[in-house]
Amino acid sequence: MLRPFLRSSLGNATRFLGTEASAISEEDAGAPRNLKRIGRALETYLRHSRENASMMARERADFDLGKRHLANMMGIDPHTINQNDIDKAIEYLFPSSLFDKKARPVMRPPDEILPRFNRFTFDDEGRPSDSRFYTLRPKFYALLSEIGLKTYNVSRLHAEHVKLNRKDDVNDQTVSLTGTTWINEEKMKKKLGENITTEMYAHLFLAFDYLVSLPGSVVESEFISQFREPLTSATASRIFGPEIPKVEICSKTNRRTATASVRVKSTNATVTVSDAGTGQWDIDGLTMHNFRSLLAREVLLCPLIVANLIGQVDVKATTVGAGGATAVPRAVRHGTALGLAALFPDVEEKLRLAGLISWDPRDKERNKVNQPGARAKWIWKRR
Amino acid sequence: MTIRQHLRAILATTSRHYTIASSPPFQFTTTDAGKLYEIPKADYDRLNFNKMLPLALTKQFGTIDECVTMIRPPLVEVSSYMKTARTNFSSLRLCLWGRFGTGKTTTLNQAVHMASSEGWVVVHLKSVLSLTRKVQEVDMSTYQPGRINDPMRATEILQLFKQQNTHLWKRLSELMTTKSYEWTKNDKTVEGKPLTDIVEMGLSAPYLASDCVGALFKELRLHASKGEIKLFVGIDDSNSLWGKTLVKKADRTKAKAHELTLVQHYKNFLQNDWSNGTVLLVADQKEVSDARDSLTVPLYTPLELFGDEGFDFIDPFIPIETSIYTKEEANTIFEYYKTKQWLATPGAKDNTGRIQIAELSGYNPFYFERICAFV
Repeated sequence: MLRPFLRSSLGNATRFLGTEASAISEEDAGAPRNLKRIGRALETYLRHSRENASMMARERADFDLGKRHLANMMGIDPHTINQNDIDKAIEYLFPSSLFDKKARPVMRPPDEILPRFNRFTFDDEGRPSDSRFYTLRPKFYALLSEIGLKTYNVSRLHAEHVKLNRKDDVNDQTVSLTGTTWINEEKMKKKLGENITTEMYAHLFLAFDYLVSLPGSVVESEFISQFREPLTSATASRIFGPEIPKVEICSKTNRRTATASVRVKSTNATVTVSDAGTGQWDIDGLTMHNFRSLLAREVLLCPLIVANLIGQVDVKATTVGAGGATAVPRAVRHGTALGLAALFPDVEEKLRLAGLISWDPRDKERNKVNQPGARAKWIWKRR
Repeated sequence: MTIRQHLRAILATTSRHYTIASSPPFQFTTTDAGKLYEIPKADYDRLNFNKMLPLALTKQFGTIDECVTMIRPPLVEVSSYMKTARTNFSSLRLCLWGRFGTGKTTTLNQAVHMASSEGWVVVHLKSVLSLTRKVQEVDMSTYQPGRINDPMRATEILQLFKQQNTHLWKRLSELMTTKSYEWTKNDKTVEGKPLTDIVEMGLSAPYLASDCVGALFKELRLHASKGEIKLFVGIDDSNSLWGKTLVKKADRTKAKAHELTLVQHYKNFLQNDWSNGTVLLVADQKEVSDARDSLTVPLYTPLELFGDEGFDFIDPFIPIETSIYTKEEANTIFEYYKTKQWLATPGAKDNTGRIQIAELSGYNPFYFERICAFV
């Protein structure tokens, strides 16, 4: 797969070199026309670079000023305002009912949203300092080479280890990948700052896969972890709804868990959902069948049925407050749904559509003076 | 595909996915646990299980028209202890305890059937609460001043004893009373009369029934100790023998449980002075739970339920815990219900339905059966 690509890109590079070579040869012949053209291209590049730098500086200053204005408007301390506050303020000031989240108004640092300017480094004579410049994708090939070197290193170390018959098990272990996944193509592009094709991404993927499969790849775990992300839903970009909890990995059992704190009426619950379970329930020390009401048991089981994960996770919950026949199961249900959304990002949308992710803000209505309840009245009697 | 292969395929799909135990109940071993077995219709009627079992279960048995229950580990444990009964060995007290709906009463009834089909004489009480909280009319005992008799309940007890031991009635009528009983000035049962005369006396004269129950129980213990019969006593909700009562005395105060004659008669089975028998008790949370409070989960261990006094009284005893279904047990009973059409809707019969029913019931046998009854 790599070969045709290499041929084409190398072909490009040689053509480029060819032009330069011919330019030099023409210069030797006493015609400096082509060199002048390259010099103009460089000048244009440098001009664009300067313009971009000043534009970015201006945008950054504007963003900082806007942030201060926004903080003043919202009554937040301008020194401590963070991106989360900004998102909330924008949502409040410019309420948008547009379906696509990308179409809604945003205010983010210019470095995040404006197109990136591709910078090159040149020496005094105008020659690129990166030796891979002429491959057109220097960062991509640098990473591929690095993976190759690391792969070689790991296999060499392991071979030595086998040869010397050493007993330390570090050189036998493969790197642990539980709970994380390779970053996707888009993120890889962003990370490299280069536009790579799906084919090129596949090459990186294959190279990484081979590296992690080698015994002793644990020595390169720090390098590998730069290109992996936790298996959670993207909470940072969420503006609406409660926060999806973070996934933690138990060091002893190697099981993934997510803990959510939720409230229903005056009941506060802390719910921990663990994957790879057997359907165990522990709600303040009680199990499922200690709940005599069928309704309560149905409520507890609801998120698992929606997510089709019944009997596959363990739920542990502790509640505080005046919980009744339905408040405790409802609080545990909400916490379970959030935990499932954190552990299994695929089911989050399903749970959201079932109305299990959003918080139920309803509360007990206060009693009124001279009335027996919130709405009830004493029986009217003439005398 | 040949016709034979077709038939084989059909047979494979319609064959039972549960196993029926073939040995008699007394011979069940731990390898039989998890299998189903049937209580014959004749035994079911004779032992009056229609009244003795929980209402929901009798409804199911009535609809399916057979009494099939599961052999669960507590039953095997009870049978293994029953095998130790002999004349030179004081009667054993076993106590079933466990969460609501895990099969305490059902195990007791299974044990009653097991004992009865082995030819043991059976004394079976559905609930002690019927002696302490559902007393309709009372009269004061003439035999022991201060004791409160319950003639209606005593008659019922004698009637049930007669019905449950019909097949042994000839054997019981060969047993003679060991002393003379003077019920009143006119009514007497002299020494050497058949034991069944005491039952007949109580049934014909309800005002003597309470005393007759006491005399009958005492004679049964004596004859069991001599080795003439084997005696099985099953008392459900037995922690209520030390519970509170709703019987009001003449001075309008509530009577204590030990002041009731029938309670005293059942307590006498819990002494160490007789042998060649087994007493199976059930510790139930009915005594301590509040009918208006469905949220509190009461404690359910024998110590909490019997209280200090009751615990000291029955001590030493062998506790046997009943528990929720294992996955295999739930699957077995699910397949049985499916075969018997107790599960009606198509959604309930497939694998998803099975898992949802099991998880929704929390593997509790009572809830499992209740959910299966309407899906």
